[in-house]
Amino acid sequence: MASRVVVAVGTKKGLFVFEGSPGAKRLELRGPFFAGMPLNAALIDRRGKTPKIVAVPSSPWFGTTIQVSKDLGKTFKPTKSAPAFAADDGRTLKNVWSLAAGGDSTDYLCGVEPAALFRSRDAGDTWEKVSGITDHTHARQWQPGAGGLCLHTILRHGEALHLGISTGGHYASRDGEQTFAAENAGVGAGFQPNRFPEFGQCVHKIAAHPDRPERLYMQNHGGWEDDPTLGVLRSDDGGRNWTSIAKGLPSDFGFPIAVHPHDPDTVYVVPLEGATRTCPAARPAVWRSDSAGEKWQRLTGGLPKKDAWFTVLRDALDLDDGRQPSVWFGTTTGQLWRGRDGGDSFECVTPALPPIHCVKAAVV
Amino acid sequence: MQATIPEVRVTIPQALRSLCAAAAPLRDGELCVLARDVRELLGELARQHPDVHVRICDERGEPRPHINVFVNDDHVRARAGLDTPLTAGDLVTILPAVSGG
Repeated sequence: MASRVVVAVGTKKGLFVFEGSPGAKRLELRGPFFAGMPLNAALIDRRGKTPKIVAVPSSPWFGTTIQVSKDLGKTFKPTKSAPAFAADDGRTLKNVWSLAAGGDSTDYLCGVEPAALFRSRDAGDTWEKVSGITDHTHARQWQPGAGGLCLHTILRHGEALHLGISTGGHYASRDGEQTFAAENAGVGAGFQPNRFPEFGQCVHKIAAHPDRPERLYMQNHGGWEDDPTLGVLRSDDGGRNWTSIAKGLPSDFGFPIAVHPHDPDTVYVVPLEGATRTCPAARPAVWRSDSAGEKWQRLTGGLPKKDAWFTVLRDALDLDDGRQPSVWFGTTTGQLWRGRDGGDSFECVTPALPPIHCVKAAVV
Repeated sequence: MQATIPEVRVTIPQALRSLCAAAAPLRDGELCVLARDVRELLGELARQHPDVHVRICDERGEPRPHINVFVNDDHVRARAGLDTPLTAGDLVTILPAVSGG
């Protein structure tokens, strides 16, 4: 079968799936699935012969389910269970914020609110907590940010598993997820008297490219007028130390950060004003660096020139992995945008979905 | 002499009715359950209809924050919570709250 671009869009009111040939002007739209239920997490899983879309609706009324589609989002079927804390743990699952493929063909890792990590070894039918982080001595000291106390980033990179927690900071395991250490040297917390604590930072997102295992990028909670260097960071030693790469950006506040699938030096952010969480001067732009954050380029082709107060949330920007990847991002005003050729020229795919929480794109 | 356990009727939210176990089917959207209080009733739901119970209750076995449980016309919150006693013929209504936006 010819390759297809698939985009899974999780919104406040359900999941939408777009599909078409990578070069098509218009994509087929399916959905909403799980109507009325917010989705913060979805995954396009291509490890098996048949690509799967795995979506995680978290109903405020009826809780969370793990839903799997083996036909590119035409139908979904729930797994036998979803992550849950033990009855005597004291915590109850409020939301799911991240879902990632594990190390073999059928396992998944799932990050939840309150911040904890669960693993399934049987394609999502049963789940167990990952104690090394869920029962970490820091866990009961983490505090919720505005979005809740969430484990939102699960990044298997090099020999390590990296986690992003808001507000907990960056943690890494290098022993097969047995133990996790807070690794936040250089990651600031502008909302604490001690700006560089051991943990407790409001990390927004972490990204990396598999060809550069020593390098990671982070969008941290910036936007502090007295220090514009806390928000956009890079590590060149596997996440142990972080330095600012925000110079040249209009704001170091933002939520998503993503790396080009074919170039580890090319990274994308969407700077927002710290106060409003919207695009500076209401003029939307995606910013791209092809030098690992040393220099930045403002990408605005096709985007509104004024009066557009876009907010792009932490999982609402992604790149597909086609030969000429597109940048896809969704706004809380319900617009899905596609930037062809790595973001050189944007077009509005659809103007009026419910508020968009997450966007996952792939060529299958 | 051992006291008889009251039989009560339970209405299940429309969205969850397809999850009821075939072994104890719904009749007109209602289940018949033997239980002395609401906690015991939820326990019976967990035993007989686990796929419904996991949607209604959290890991501690308590109703989720946006799920309301009524005994006849009274919210259990206004009575004794999950310890609210049940008597034969009571109607227990489980409903999602009017929350959202």
